[in-house]
Amino acid sequence: MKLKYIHKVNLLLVAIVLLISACYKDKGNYDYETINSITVTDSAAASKIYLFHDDTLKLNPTVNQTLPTSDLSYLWFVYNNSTNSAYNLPRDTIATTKNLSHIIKSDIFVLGEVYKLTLKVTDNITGVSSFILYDLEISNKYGTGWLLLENNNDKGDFSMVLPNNTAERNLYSLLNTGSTLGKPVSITSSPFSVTDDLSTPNRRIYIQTENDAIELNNLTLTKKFDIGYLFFAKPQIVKPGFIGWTGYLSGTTLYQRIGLAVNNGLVHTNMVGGFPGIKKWGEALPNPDGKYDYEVAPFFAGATIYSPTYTNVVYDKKYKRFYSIGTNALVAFSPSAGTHFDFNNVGLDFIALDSSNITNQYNAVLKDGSTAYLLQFKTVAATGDPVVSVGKTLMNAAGIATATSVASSTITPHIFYSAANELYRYESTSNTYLKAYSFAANENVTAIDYQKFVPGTGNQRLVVATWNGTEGKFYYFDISTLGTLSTNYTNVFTGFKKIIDIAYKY
Amino acid sequence: MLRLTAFMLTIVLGATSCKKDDFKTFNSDAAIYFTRGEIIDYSFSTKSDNLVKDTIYIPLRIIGTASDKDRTFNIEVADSSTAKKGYHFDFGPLVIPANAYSLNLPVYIYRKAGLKDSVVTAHLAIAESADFKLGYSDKYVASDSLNKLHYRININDQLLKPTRWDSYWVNYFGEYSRTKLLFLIQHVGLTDFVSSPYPQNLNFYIQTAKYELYKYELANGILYDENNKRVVFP
Repeated sequence: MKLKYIHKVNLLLVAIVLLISACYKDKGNYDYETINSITVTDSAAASKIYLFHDDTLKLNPTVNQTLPTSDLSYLWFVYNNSTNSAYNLPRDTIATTKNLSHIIKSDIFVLGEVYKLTLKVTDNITGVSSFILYDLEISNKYGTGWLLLENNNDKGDFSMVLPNNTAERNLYSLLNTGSTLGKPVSITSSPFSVTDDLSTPNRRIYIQTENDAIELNNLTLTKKFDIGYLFFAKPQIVKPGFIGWTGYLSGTTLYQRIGLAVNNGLVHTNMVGGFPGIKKWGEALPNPDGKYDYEVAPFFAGATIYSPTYTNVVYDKKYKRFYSIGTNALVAFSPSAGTHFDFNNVGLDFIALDSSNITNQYNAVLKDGSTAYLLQFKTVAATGDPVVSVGKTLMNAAGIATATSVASSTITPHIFYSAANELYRYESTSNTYLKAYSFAANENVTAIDYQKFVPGTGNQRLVVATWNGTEGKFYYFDISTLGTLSTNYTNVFTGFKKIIDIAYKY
Repeated sequence: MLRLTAFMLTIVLGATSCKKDDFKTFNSDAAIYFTRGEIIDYSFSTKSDNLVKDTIYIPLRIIGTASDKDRTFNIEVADSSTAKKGYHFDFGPLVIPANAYSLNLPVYIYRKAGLKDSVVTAHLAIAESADFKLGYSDKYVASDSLNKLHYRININDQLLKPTRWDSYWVNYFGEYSRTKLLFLIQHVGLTDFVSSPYPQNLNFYIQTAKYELYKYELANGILYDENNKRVVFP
């Protein structure tokens, strides 16, 4: 009991000593002075700032001081703040002035990346600093819009018409210094991402020229691969007409199905899927007779469902017939597939092949001399019914036999086409046509395309490229929900070279 | 008294919480096995005439943790082997390097005159060593002929029917013939009949075979095989 009492007394003494020492008065004689306090404000820092390359970033922050002095120093520095950026990336100092005026260049700012920009203001007398932070994102100026492939004295280039109705010209030569395109043939742009393990999955853009084909980087529009790399073995004769991808719908989303290429009239395929290995285009496919004696038009009729009857269909201009594309050979149609016409012996010359306003149904515009026919067919047969032909119609459509470009609506039963300087609309259900617009006498249509949904409005649009011998023009025409083409164009973009093909970049 | 007990309990708990954790690790004997027990054919017939030595690789894996030092393992060549180690073939170092869990063992294959008219076989089996015991003895897939402790290499310098023709290649190139095999090697560039190409690579071989045969026939007429049958690719 006595021992316990002594312990308690000891503990109490320790506590008292600690308390007393805590109350010891500080006898230091310090001289406290008020120093300049800096705050930096800028309303521009409140939200992310989106910039394109070559934009000039101008920032004019307000610097507040409690004891103003002019002896301040400024440091603007920036670092990559993307989620996948490394922590050890260097920061770049871009200015040492109060206000910033800096041209965004790719040496520091990478397309598609986000950055943290910091202004550090330091009072040189006290050494005290204040900061303000800005979030930047380097946007893709050429993210979406119409790609216009142009022929300039048998050299290729392309321009873009952007959603804000501005035109960016000569982009290939601008963005691919030192690289030139040969005589242009066609341009394609996939509306969905492609995973081919050749490069990062993304939408694919290809330009075909007389003796080569290239893939463009979707983000930077710079040349990525040439035909020798896109194919497992470069074809002995390089004469590409088309390289692109067909897809299928799952819900409302398009997915890659297969890559298709036409080179020297022969079909090549690129099978992709969830299996390993890089995927390139293979060797040409033989026709159903095992021969390479055919010449298909660079147009494909695909199917939106995953397992259609005929996955992709092409037309052989030489033997005037259709083929279905198999994995390693072209395949003849079932003899019972056509009642309106024989898929394996059509006997007509090719004008165009395009989708229609009915899902999995296609329009083939063909001719015999000056007489044009509309052959309609499905790529998905009904259960128990092998017939996929839908009709063969002698077209009542002025000028269709000499049409230079054809585009079908996918909402209404209309086919838009051009002959010389005239723009027409054909209605398949009534077999009638009307002249929609006449360009100047010497201004001939070189390409047209149909846009089902104009971004931002959701309306339909017809785009038309013309050439008058010296200048290329690009027009927008509105299309009503009933398929009526506006009597006049809504926009025209001028000053292009000869536009020979167009594609929309998604 | 209650407060003192609580205080003592806290001290005891605090002291015991600082006890070093006796972390459990794999402490069984290390073992080694072939990633897959396979029978492979190696033929110099598809190689350049100047090639006298080639290297193939056998994948192996270990059971247990990696070591901070190199460890040796053993592969036994069965007496039934007709291929002689040091003459027809030889191994690279039988060493699992420090910090490694697997190894692609180089096996050197030597071109010998006798291989023109005979096939020699190396029957290989994992054998225990000071560092490794025998690993898994099951099969990679049930249909495999060998388990994971055995491996077999058939060596020749002749154009022989690939072991996997009737189970695999027949599906893509049809009925076997020596002429067809030679055509695939010479005109299509397909020389590896052991492994399975990726699907699009396989398509390319099939497409190239058809196209090359078409060109061959245009230039030379129909190609007949040793059985006087026309060579076709389905």
